[in-house]
Amino acid sequence: MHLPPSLLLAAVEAEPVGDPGSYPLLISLIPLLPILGFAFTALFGRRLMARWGRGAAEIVPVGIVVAAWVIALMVIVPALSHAAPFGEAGLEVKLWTWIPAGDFQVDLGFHVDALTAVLLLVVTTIGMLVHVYSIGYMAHDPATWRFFAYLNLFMFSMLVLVLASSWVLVFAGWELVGLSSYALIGFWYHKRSAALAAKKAFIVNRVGDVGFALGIMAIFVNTGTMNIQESLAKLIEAPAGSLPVALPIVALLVFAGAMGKSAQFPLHVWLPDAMEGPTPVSALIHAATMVNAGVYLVARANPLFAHAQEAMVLVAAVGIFTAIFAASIAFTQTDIKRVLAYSTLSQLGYMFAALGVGAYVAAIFHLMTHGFFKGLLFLGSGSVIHAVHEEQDMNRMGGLWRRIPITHWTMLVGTIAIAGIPPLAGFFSKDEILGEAFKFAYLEGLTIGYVVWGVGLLVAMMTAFYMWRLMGKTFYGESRVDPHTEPRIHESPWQMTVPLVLLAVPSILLGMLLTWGGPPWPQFIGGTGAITRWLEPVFVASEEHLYGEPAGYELFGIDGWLILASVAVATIGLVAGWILFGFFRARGRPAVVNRIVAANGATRFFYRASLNKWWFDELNDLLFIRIGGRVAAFLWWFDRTVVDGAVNGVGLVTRDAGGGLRRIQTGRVQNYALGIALGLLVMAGSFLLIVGQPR
Amino acid sequence: MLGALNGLSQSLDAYLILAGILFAIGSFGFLARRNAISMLMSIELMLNAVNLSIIAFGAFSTSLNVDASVIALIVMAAAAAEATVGLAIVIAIYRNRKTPLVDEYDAMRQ
Amino acid sequence: MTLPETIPFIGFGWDDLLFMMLAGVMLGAALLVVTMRDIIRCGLAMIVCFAALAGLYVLAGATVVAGAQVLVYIGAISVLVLFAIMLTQDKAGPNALVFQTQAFPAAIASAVLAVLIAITVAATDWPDAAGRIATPATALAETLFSDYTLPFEVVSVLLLAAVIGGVFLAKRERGGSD
Repeated sequence: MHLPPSLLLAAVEAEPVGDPGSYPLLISLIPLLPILGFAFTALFGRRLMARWGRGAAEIVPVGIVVAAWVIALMVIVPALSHAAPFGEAGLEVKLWTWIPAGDFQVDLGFHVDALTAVLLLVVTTIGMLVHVYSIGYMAHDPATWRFFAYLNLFMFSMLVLVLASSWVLVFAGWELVGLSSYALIGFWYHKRSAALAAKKAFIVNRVGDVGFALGIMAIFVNTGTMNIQESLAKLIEAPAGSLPVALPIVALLVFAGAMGKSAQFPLHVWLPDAMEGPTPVSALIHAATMVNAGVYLVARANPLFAHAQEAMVLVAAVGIFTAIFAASIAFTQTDIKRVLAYSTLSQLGYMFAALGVGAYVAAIFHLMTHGFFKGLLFLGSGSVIHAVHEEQDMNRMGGLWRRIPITHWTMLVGTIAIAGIPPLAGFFSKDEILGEAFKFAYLEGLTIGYVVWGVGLLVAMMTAFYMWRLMGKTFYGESRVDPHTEPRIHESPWQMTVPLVLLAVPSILLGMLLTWGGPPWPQFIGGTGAITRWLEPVFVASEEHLYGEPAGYELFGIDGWLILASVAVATIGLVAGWILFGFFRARGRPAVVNRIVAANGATRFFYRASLNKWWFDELNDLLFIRIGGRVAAFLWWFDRTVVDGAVNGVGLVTRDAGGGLRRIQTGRVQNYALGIALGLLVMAGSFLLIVGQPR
Repeated sequence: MLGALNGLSQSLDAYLILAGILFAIGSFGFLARRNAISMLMSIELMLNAVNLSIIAFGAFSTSLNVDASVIALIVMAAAAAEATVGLAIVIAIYRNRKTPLVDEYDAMRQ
Repeated sequence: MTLPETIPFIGFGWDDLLFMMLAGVMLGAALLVVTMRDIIRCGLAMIVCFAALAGLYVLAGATVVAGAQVLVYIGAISVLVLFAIMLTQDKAGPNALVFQTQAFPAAIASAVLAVLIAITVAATDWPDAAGRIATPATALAETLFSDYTLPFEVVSVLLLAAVIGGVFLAKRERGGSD
């Protein structure tokens, strides 16, 4: 079944399938409720909290997000099943014409198709659970109302970004998400490190945003429209070489924006520092939603990328490099949240690598499952930190598995999921990525696919290892907790543990559910799996363009071997982690660890490099602060001396000329008379000479 | 050589050039002297030069003959009036400034 | 005995001699007016200049104007000037600079002016310049009091205004001079 690109255009311009009914209203409510919540809490939160306590300030924002979740479900279900009025191309809702400026028309509206629905599901579900969790986590903070206001603002921004139907609105949501992230990372603004981290996040995002903005402008120059679906259709229809800005360049510019927001190398530096924010923020923004915006962007622009294959190779390369780069750093970090941050970077790298090789459905699938288990891990780590009274260094934890059981068991689930052990969710999505990469390389000749598969396998092993290191140091073995706080370790309140359990369930089941009937289940079950069925219309045109008909699935052939490889590496990493760092009562072997690290020069170097984040922050400091600082100083000198000098010089010349000319005004009549006489003489003389010549 | 000067008084050019030289002398005095009264005297010289040229034109032209004399008389009357008022002004300024030298009248200067 | 046509040994006529003498006196006196240090002497030189000018007028045939020149210029204006000089003399005497700083450019300008006028005059083809024509007084009187009555009356009003103005301006402070 081949969907030509013109069908995409036709689908946009065609009449909606059936009457949209009340869906435009529902869809509009989804972002509208959080912004109202933000306004209400920002205006009245402080007073409510002062007069009637914390609960009064929290009830509106949390209630609104729950309501938004319910409404979102009502929209998600028909969208995923391609029911009317969504159909296969999705429902376009236009609210009004935002910018009517002649050739430049921008409509304010939303576009909901299956991809949007998947993102909506992740964002609203995890957003709701984080809001509930925050009630417990921020229970001792004096500015809780501000936190919830910002959280609602963030929900609004992210929903606008995901729902937007035009590039300009996406960009608006993009920037707002950055702003909310800045506000939330720097929530404890009186802590200098938090303020600096917030600044860093915003600035590094901005670097990527420049690329994105240029990409949007390039899209407009190429197609003359800002509507996403229309512009994509026009871009791929144009004959090659007729566009003012070549497609690969547009694709790379858009990817630059995705790199900033999703923290790919070299714009990854802000994400680990962003852990300065409260843990619910880390869970929501930096694990489940904001960093997924980049993945969503590239997935949404998949026709563009599919027709610019050079860009796709770069995307895959950057993604897989980030994956292994971040995983290598996670080996040695001692702050529990930093390990998780680098883990997020690594998994995002997986998603981009998947997008880069053309495995779009796999990338989005991993986005979903990752959102759930990474959110779980972060919230769990928040619970641990809460239990040991704000201690974040893993070397001062240990033996907690008996003291905080719910947290421990849910985090164990999350760890197994992320390591990729079947039948938990992570296995399905990760294996899908690796499998598709290998198959595209083997069957279609896509060389980068081999790289992605090989490095990806290595990263899977590393992931299992460092996650088990985290678990071992935090929960197992003997307790290294500070003796003063040891007796006071307690399980977290229900507002915190219930979301953990609620997140553990999809971490276990989601993978199986979404692929039921499709790969990697054996053929006799039949069908193509729920997630593939949902997302197919969004990506099928690009996949056809890239690879033609998809190959069949052979569980007992190539695909079986691939599954075996994935599971094998995950198990190896896991077992290595068990042995070295402990499991339940078994203590770890720190002496063995130290011996391995100190074994020879190479391992010592890798240990130091990993611990120092490969000195990348120092490199940035050298390049931009020192060298850039000198350039800036020179430019300042230039501006002061040359530019200002020129401007002031004009003034000086004028003033001096005026001063000089002023001296003609002597106030003496005779001087004036002399002037008149001279003028007269000149006139008469010239008349005489010129006019009076005999002809 | 002096024979070339024969008929000088019969030539209009001579009178006119003479008037011109007198005018130039008067203008030099006007532009260069410091005393206000010297300036006025120079103005009188210039007026006289003009008078001379008018009379010269009248002397060498039948139609202008009488009219030239009339004009010269009127110019003379105007010159007298102007000299009167000018000198009165100079006296008045002298009373105020205590000096007749025009380059010391600098109240309107920066 | 009639005088010969041209002066012997020299070559030009008696009129020309008279003309040159009067012209020389006039220009010399004028130069003295503008260059002498002592103002009183300048005034006196001016009188000499006017006298020579009156002679030139006679030579040109305008006898009435010559008479008026003597009466008005020498008799009235020069006296007025001398009075004014005496009323405005510095106590310190005439030892200040005679010329301003711009004297040199002024001299050059004046010289150029003279040259320009001379060139212009010489280059122009004046019509009707056969010889001097005398002006009879009766004709002058007739024209003055019939064709030029209005200018005559206006001039008398002008003189009245000048007299009144002069008196007013030169009054003592009590009257309110500027």
